[in-house]
Amino acid sequence: MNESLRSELVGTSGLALAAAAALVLTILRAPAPSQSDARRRTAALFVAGLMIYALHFLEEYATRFYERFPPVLGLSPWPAGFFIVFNLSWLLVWVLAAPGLRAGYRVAYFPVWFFAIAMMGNGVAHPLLSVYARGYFPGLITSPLAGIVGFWLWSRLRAITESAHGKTRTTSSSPNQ
Amino acid sequence: MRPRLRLSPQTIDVLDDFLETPRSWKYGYDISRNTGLKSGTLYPILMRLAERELLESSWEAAEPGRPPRHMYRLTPDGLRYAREERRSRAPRRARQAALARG
Repeated sequence: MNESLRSELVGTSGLALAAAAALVLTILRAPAPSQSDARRRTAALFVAGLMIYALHFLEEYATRFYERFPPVLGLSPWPAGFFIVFNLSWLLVWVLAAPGLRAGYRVAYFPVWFFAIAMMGNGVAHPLLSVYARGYFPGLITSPLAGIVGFWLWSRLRAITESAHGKTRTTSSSPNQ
Repeated sequence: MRPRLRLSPQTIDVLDDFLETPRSWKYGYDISRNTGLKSGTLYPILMRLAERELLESSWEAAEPGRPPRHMYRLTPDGLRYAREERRSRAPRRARQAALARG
């Protein structure tokens, strides 16, 4: 495997774990019925979160996060093109997920859970990276906002979903529902 | 004035490798091969040297079918620093060589 590919795969493996966690949550927690108002509010929060994400991405790009972060993990820097395509691809998925979340499509919850986890991760990781670097680390300024919106969205997602296991039990014991 | 770098043996190896061809751009892979350092050790060293402006970095122009690679070379400050460090180690190296000869 060439060095660039290895760096891109290993360097984004934390996000792969976040995606796996999001998938598990999507399977374990089903959209709760009769929550259309709450879903609308959550979708609005998600869209606001996307704007904060865009701001965070711009800060990371302008301060060359893609060159500074991989060496912390002992990896070669990422080309700017990879960083841009990776982030904009996810942004596209998230933008497409917003109407799905509002409508209550379960599949749309997966990218939204992933977004919430990734944003919480940003809120924690950038300050830690700055401690490691003993100074500013790219992405630090907008990372608290990312962390707050991630945690807030996580809480909202928990409120508008319910345990799929519990739901199955309820359904089986109440066939009239 | 920037705080002086604490030079680990690995950082010294990296600086010595740059001093072999002081004005040439080098790839991480080449430095790793020349010094025997694994990427997990090498890239944090390159990052610290670049943060202290002892190294400058640049991207190689992309060629079809190959990802662009990051290149490094000593800055004028870095060259001066690496040479001073090498000079300051010279008496110690001579003493060690004399001791080895008995």
